[in-house]
Amino acid sequence: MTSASVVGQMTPSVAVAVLVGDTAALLDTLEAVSRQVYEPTRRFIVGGAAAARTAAEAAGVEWSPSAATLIEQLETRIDFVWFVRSGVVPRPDALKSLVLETERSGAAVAGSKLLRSDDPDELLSVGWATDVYGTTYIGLDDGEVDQGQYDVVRDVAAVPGTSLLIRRDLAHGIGGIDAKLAPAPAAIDLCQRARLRGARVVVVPSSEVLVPDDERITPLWRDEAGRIRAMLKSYSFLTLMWALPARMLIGLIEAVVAPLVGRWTLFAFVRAWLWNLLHLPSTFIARRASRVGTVVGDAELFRYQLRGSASLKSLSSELAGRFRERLPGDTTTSLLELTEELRRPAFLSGVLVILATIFGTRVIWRSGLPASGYLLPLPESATAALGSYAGGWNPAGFGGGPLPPLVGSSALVQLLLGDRAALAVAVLTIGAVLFGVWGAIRLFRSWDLRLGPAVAGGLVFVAGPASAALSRGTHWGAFVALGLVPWAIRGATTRWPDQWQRRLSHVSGLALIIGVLATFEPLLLPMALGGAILWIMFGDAGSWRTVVAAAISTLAGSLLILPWVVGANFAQYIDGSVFWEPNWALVGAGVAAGLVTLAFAEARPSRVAGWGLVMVGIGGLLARSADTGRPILATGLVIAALGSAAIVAAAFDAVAAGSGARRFVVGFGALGAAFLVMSTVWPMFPGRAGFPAVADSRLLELGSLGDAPVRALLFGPPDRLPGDERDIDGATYRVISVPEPGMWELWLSPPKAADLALEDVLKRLTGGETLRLGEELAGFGIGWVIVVGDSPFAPLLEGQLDLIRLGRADPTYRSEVETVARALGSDGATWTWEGAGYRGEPTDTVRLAENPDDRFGPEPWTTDGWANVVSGETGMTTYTADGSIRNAARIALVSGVLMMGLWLFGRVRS
Amino acid sequence: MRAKDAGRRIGAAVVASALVAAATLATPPADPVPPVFALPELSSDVAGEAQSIWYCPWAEAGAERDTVISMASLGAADAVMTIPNPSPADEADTAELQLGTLSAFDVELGEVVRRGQAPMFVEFAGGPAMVSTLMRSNTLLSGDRCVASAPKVWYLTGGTTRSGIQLTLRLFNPFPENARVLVSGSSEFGNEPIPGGSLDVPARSWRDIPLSQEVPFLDELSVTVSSETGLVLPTMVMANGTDEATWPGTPLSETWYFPVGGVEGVESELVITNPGDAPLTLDVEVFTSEGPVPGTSMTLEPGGPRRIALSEIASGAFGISVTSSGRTAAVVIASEVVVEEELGGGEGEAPPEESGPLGGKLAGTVGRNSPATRWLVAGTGNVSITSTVWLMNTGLQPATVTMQPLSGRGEEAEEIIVGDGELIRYPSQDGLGYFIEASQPISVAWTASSALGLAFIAGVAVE
Repeated sequence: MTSASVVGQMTPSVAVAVLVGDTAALLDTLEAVSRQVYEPTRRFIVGGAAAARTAAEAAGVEWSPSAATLIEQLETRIDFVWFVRSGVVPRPDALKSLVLETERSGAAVAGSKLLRSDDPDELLSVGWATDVYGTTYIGLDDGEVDQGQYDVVRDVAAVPGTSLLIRRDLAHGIGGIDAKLAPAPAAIDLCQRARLRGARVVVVPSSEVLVPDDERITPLWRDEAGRIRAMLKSYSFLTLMWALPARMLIGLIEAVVAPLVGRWTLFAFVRAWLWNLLHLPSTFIARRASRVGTVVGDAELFRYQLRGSASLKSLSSELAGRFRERLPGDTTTSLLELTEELRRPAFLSGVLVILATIFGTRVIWRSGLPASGYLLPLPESATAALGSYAGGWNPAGFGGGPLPPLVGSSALVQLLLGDRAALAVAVLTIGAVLFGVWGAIRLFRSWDLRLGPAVAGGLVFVAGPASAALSRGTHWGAFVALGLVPWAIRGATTRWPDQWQRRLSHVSGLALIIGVLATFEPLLLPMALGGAILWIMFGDAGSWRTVVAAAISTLAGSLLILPWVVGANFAQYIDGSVFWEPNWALVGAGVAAGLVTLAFAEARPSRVAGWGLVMVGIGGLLARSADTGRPILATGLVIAALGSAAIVAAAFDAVAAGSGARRFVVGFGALGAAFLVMSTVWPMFPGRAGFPAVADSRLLELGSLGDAPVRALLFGPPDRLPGDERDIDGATYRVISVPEPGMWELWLSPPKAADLALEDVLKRLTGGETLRLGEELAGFGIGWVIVVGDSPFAPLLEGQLDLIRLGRADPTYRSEVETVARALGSDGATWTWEGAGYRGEPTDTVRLAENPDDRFGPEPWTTDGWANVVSGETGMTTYTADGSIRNAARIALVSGVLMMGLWLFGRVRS
Repeated sequence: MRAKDAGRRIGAAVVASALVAAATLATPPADPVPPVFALPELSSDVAGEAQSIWYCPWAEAGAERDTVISMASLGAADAVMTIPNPSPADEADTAELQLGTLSAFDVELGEVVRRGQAPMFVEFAGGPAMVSTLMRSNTLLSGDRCVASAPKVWYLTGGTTRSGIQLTLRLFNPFPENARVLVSGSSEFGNEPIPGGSLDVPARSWRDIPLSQEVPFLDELSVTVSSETGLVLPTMVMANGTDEATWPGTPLSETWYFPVGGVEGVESELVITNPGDAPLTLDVEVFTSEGPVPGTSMTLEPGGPRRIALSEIASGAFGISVTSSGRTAAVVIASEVVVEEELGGGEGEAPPEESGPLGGKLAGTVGRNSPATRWLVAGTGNVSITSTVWLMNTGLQPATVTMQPLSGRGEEAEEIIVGDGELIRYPSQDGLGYFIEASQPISVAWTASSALGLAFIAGVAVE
């Protein structure tokens, strides 16, 4: 009492406001408040229903419906308001310390140190740092013990509303606590508004408050919504211009990445932004109130904030932890055990894999991938590509026909990455390498091979001879699928779960993986099932139930490629004439390693080696089947890649497991495997994951041919032309868009009217009957003729009177015809290609140099020879999507979401 | 258990080995052999059914000279004359014409453009159609058919750079692409390097190489023009100070037919080049209005051109056929026999050299590699010249020949018989050109002559 009387002489009068959250815990808090050595002038219970009011009457304290009302009704003699949340127990001197230190430091807002009520030695908060987006950073390790290490009064970005003292006049001036916000963002919001008025915000560690562990958790979306509203209220427009888009991008990234650590933030993200949209009027009103009378700028807020995004840092840290956990055999440790961890094989292997991935893909980050073979940049608009895949117009050549699912899946990734095409290609390619190695390690570890051999197998899987052939041959879709293949095989061969929730999660998760990998290469759909059957045939402990589950998952996974299945011409898809010519020395080394390991190793590596050998044989047969197309070659290479990786992992494991003479013999197998591991240096060394050099991609030069959106007619051998080709008596050619051809143009459909008309023109050229080729091609929207490599057409171009050759490495001819247009209005104006349609000045009709299709609009639709003629009155053309394919796309999307939901549901419930 | 494990290993090894062996033994598909598309090598003097372009490198319209561009067509066809402007900034001059069925048309180049040298080309939307040129001035008359295709390699033989002769090689590039060509020569001394022989010809322009200055004092000069990039149309122009002769380049052939081999009052020479590496046997047959007369046979050594004085084999009007055991390039050059007085040689002055044209009329023409049953000639209706169509039947059967005048006035066709081995000269009456149809393959050309000059002009076979 003595001290109270001494303090009382200083006369700061305090009103205590207990904010009702949990009515049941209200009495404990009221009792703790009543024990304060610093006697408050008035005591209130704020909020709550009738029960709170009754409790207030019973305890002899006043009741106020809201914090705002309380601030309004307090008389001016009250100097401070102490907000305390119900359920917490302040120590008796908590208020005293707060008032004393606040007065002494000249602060206007102060918060207490929060400790766990069931373990008062454990720290929960000593004030918050935040990032610019309002995400808090506590700065404490899990379970960190309070040893007085933070016991100093200091400025912080914000203090929790759990125990917060604020000057009454300031609270009145800035409008008090925002009742629309969840507690945490409300406290941050209050502190930021106070700081903008020049007030100091401090934490007072000598004021201790015990907080129960079963604190009610606020829904994720409410916290996110509150943070966005706090930004909108406090920051200047200049700050908001960059902070809001950045926050949105961060939220999107979180939505993509967080599921990897078992969190699903997409819906919270969407709901938070929608909530703010709905509350925008009230936010503007509140903003006006909070910005009036500010004495400092945003820079003062930034002083106490972290750089970058706290949520992304937390997420990446969590991911790293999960990654470390996934490296089998070892447990994660805290940073204090870093030295010890560095010596662990799991950690070292993880670092090795990441470094190898960075090294092997370093050029892709900087320069992207080349535009050659079956690799072109993704379309500029992901939504247009998705629309085209889902029954819309296929712009390849003169159009028409279904697009492969690779277009849809890559467009989806592009969309999730903010429609950044180059980033999507880089992320998918590098992700394939990283997830491929990681997945292979996990697969081989689940087959009880040692970590080191598993890592070697992982490297061979993504950069061995077979996968190098994939990237060298620009089988980009199949290469991306590499990242998922081992996960699918692992899912199909893993033990059948005991709980039904886990079974559900297992089947749906496996279906999702199989379906997604099939979108990148449909022929890989049955690979997981086949791999599982083979694994069981080798007499492993797996059960046929897992095979049945794999079969069900494969069936379900096929739903994801339904749009392609509905419209595709399967015979044409696998048609072609490609052949794999491997390095026979490496094949010999691999096969020798496999046979030696199979014959002489312990049972486990022997089985894995046998499995790998058969996979290599099957893959080799597929990849070396004459008169088959690229998809079969790519499928064979993927199978062979996994098989060779299994052989390598088994061969090294056999050495580690063996002893004596057996070890000596299997050592020869490991020698062969070592050759395969060493061979991975060659594709990885240039830093492009084995893909051709960007400098080799002459097609990129198409971008320098001017801005006119026309087509180019390319002549050359098949291996120099992008994507599919057509031919006249074996002389190959194809048509492609300039200046920016997209990946969706790679796959040509069977020839239709426009294709046949072009073929007629070219036949006349070969017969020496065409003297003005440029004029004849103008109607097709072809303004350029380019010869790439040796072509029988080349000598025929020299005598053409309206093709001007430019001084370029590849013979390039520009048409002299004045008007070359893919879409030409009846007024003679050129319409341009945008997204997946044409746009231009309104006119009577527009002639579209595309294969005739009555889905083109607006009506009336007619034809001019082989070309479409539609109304041009609206200034844009339309294409009515194929209903069956569009519905199939909807089914695929819903199926994918359902699979993901069931997978997450199973994981969470179990 | 151990036996089971061993069985598993053996079974797996057998299956895997079989699969790997099958994959190893698989044979790659045969590499497809791409076709070879090339412009027809010997079509530069054929009028085809489809659209065509005829390139005329030697044309000029100025204060002293003008050129008649003569066109003939069997079917109705739109024609566009294009005269490229050597200045890249200026558009080409063009003139559009319409030719009806079985019609011919003469255009004075000076009526379209008058800026001196004006190589040009005519584009027909239909056909068969053809073009020939006839250049005139107060002192000369020269011309030949134009060419309808542009191969990569051209042969031009028959040149000489002896004193008194101006020999020029024109390289016409009507295409939009710059051309780089290699000009190589051969003379009586063997290979004859042409200074600056590798040169660029700008797109839609031309270059003249003054061979008389570059490689002077050669009795024989044969030139080969090879395109490294782009294409050119070469023509040789020989002037003797009085008259001028011009002839286009040709490909090589084992047979050549010259209906105009010799004319009264001129001395004709066959200049033939063997560009190969081995000697060839050569047979020259001569055809007159009286039938065939004995020709000559000889061995043609490789290398420089060989000049054969046809006047020593036959006299008067005659045609020849040349058959060799290998491919050759050939041309007929004719020069007027000029007596000393006419040259101004008086007493005490050195007489003119025995061989070679000096002063007087001068003509030259290319032959055709095979006879044909259908021919077109154009330009025969010019009133200021005497035009004669020459019909040579080198076959063993008489040929019934229908001469259809292409005047556009609906004249009746005339039928004549050309006996086997016979040469008939058909004086042009009022036809601007002729469509000639024969029951047996024959060879056709025509001559234009006036008091000032003489020109031999090859006919164009119809496909």
